[in-house]
Amino acid sequence: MSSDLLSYLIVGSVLFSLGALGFLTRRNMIVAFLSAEMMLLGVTLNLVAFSYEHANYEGQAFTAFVLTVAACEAALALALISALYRMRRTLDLGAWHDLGEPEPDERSEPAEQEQPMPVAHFPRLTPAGNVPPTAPLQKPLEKKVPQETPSHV
Amino acid sequence: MNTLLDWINENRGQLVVPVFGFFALYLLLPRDYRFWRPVGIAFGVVALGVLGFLFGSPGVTLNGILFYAFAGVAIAAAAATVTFPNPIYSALSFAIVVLSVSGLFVLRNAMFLAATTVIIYAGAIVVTFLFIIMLSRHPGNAPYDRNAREPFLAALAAFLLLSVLLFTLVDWKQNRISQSLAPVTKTFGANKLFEANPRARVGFIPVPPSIDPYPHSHMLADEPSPLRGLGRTFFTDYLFAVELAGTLLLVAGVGAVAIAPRRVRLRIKPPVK
Amino acid sequence: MSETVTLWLIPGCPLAAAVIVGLFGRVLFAKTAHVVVVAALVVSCLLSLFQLGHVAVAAGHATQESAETAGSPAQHAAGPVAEAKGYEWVSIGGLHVEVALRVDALSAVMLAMVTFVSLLVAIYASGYMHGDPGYPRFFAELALFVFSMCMLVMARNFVVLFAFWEAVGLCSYLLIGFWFERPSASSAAVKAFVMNRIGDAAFLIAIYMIWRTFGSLDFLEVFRGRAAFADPPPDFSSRILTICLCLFIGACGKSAQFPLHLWLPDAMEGPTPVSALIHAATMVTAGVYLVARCTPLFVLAPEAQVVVATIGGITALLAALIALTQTDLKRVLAYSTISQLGYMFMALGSAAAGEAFALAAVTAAIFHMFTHAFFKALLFLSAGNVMHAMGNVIDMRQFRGLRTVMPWTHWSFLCGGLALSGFPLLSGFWSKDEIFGLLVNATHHGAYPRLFQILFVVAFVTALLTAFYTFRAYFLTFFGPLRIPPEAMAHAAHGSHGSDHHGAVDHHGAGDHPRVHEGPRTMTLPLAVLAVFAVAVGVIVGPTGLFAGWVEQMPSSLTLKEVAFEWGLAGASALAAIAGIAIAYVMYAEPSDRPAKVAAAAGPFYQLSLNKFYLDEVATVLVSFPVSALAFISLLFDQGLIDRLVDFVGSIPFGVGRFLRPVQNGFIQSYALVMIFGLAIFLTTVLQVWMVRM
Repeated sequence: MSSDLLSYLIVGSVLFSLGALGFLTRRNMIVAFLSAEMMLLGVTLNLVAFSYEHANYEGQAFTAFVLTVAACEAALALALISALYRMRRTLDLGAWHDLGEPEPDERSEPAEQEQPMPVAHFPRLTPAGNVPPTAPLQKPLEKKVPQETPSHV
Repeated sequence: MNTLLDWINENRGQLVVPVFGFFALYLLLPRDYRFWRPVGIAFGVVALGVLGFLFGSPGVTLNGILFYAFAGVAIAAAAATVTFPNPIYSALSFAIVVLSVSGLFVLRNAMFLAATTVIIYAGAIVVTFLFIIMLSRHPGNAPYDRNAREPFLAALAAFLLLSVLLFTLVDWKQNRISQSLAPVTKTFGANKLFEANPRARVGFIPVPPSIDPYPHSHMLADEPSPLRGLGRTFFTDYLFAVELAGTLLLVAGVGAVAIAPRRVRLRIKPPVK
Repeated sequence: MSETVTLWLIPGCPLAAAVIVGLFGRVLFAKTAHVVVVAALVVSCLLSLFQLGHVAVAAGHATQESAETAGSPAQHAAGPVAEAKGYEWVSIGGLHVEVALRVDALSAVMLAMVTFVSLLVAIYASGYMHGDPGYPRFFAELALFVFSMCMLVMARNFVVLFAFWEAVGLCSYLLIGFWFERPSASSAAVKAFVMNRIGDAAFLIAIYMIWRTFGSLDFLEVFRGRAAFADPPPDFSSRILTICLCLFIGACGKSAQFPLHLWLPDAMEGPTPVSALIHAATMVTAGVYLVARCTPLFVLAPEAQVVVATIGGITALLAALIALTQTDLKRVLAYSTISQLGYMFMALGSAAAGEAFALAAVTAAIFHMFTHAFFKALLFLSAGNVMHAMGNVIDMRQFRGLRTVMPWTHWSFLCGGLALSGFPLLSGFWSKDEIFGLLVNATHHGAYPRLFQILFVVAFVTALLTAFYTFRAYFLTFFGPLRIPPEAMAHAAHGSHGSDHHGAVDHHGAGDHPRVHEGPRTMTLPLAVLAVFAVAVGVIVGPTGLFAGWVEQMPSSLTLKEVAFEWGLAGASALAAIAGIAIAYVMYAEPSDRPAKVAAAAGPFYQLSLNKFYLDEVATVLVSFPVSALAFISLLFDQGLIDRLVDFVGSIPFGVGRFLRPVQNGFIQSYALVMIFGLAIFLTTVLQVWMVRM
């Protein structure tokens, strides 16, 4: 292969890469599309270089078709961009991420740990036959029976 | 590790281009701090220089000088398209790219294509884009124009791609690619371009030895005028494709009209009497 | 009917009653659950009495004649034993456990006592628990208990005995916590069950060691003792000692001996019929039964018997001292039960005097258990009557002088109290006297004369204290000016009894001042029957040697050597009883300040006794706190470590998701970026690595 061909191929590759970079980077819809067109331009340069190398018209014919398709694509893209602009009034590609994964809702907190009942709330059995109160366990029992000497025994 | 260093040493010329180019573009991409731009431009100039030195046409011929001019302007303008924050400048740089590439087309004997490219790209597409851009102008630059998205990763991806292509092309030139992948030779009449390769493969599929290019393919040498040769090719070899392309254009036009938002109809209120 | 069927009917009828009432009680038997259970118990009781006659009484005469002629010391002429085939439960390797029944004289005596007292208590309970929403549940649990107790007594091997040991513990838990909505009742039930479990742990160790030593768990094979081995292992004595000690600890848990006695006073939270049946007559005697049954093992380890006697003595004295100051009538009776159980163990332990006295010791212990069942049940049921009439107040400080309004109860309580105190010629007198005789005997024979002297003094002092506190309770309840607590007025005014239950008592006419009255006939007739037994059964059975003759039929290799009846001892114990009664009369018959002065004079001792020697608090500190601390540490470990680990594992998918989610951010340029990266890497691999190297 001749170095001429190599030079043109390299230019084509550079254009292609720069176009890719622009498409990935720019947030303006127009400029992104422009970069995509630049990628096509790099490819057409490749085609033309090979056409010259092989000394026939096939590459050039194909390039014509690439051009045709690029034009159609540009027309449709501009129509779409206009429609999108009408909707959000901005040319920012960042405005259109509705199909992204949403953040999930916050996980529910773990269930309340059951606190064991404090020991003080368990009734101490009274020494004499008083009926202890049957109130719920949250209320501490009143000590009904005094431990000192009763009045008469 | 040593092999890596050896390899870097061996290919240092080729490595300079993507690496410096990466830094250049990374620094040039729109960002808040503008003082990196001169540094980026410096890197870019170095990268471009090395690229031109390594892979340019040898010899000081008109062909070579024109090639250097057009190619350099194309690449610089491409970098400008990608890195200008102002979208209008971006579009105009793209127009310059198109013009330079057309120049390269002319050097490769594709006059019709050069003209067509200028008409369609620079004439129709860029102008239409400029209209749309002007509809949505922001004072200063829009916030979405001032900052690039993911500059590091994008530059990395792009220049990784570029370096792969670069290395492959160089390997190809230096015949370092496996011989089974060398292209098939064809001799068309008096034009002997490549040697026949009986072990040719496309991937792992062997190429049948009796492959012929399109039998009626017109050679550049047969027609003195490139335009006439291209026309002949269109209307004999690729007639069907041409008609299809026309249909495609029609469909695209109809589609664009269908998609584009309607203009608001003005209601004219009758005067109250 | 064949022997198998008759034997299996004894536990089978209560079981069937329990199942029927348990399953269909609320639907079918909401008010008549007692009919099913009482019917089943009647059948059981009759069959038990028949067995008693068959095994013990009839044979007693036969062997008394053949005993002189038999004369072979090695194998005592065993009386007839009723056996019932069951089924093979476990048969793994060397372990064979068969669920089958064997009734010898000891079992027959216990069966008769258990079923008879259960029958009377069930009849009583049908009146006492009238109107309770859990009526069928009560009777189902009661029947279940009787079934378990019967199976325990008739078991043929240690495992079945242990299984039903646990079952009676379960029934005790269910019945103590019968009114489970009361936190005090449910805590008491748990306390009882847990303390039982401590004893059960030791029991299980004993069972394991028995199996390892003897290779079998059947009673007959184990009780051959040293004769079971051709070549006993070298540490046989220490093994037997360990087995006996562990068995005794198990018995302590069930029979509420020091230090595992703390659950019995709190078990009074259950309904009074439950206290009467389970915690006076039957379940707590299961421990005594166990030690009595294992006497052939205990005689091989006299040290164990000494431990038994000592613990029994400590318990008897301790409980008597605590009962002196309690103000809750049921608690007094509970401590009295603990004290009398201590007596039974003292009797069993006095066989340390020599192997020859083992059977006499067993006889005395079982006799005391037999009489104790009757008079303690009587006392509890009388207390139940009092509680019922006083509107569920049982604090003796709230009522006085009830003999005028509750004559039946008064006389029943008096009979029971006299029997308990050991009043001459009543049943308690005879049984206690036999125990005293044994203790004295042990001071003359055997290796521990000094110890048994001390134990004898302890027993004597305890007898005095028993008389005192029993009659303190009696005088406080039934003597003095009539005083009714306000709850009783409310109860009487509501007239909760149906009119068909009222015998010849005042009806509440309109405008009449509501009067406290006796319970219905279902509550007073069983008292009468028990009173008759409490008074008479001692005389009938004891000195006539009938009982000894019955118990002698217990198959064992022991011969009975009579312990002579000493008149001096009998007179001394009678005097002790009368002295105790007299002191109580002086202090409590009329309201005065003498008790207060005595209490003030006693000072710290009074406080010590009133607070149960702070043993509950000691147990709390020694056991509850460490366990709570351990539980808290486990909680920390579980929540802090395990839960965190599990949460961490659970959060891994979230983390992975959070990491991967930004890939799908909806920006088409990100997707393009990834595609171009992929393309670059792919091309590198294909173009540079593959194609170049190939």
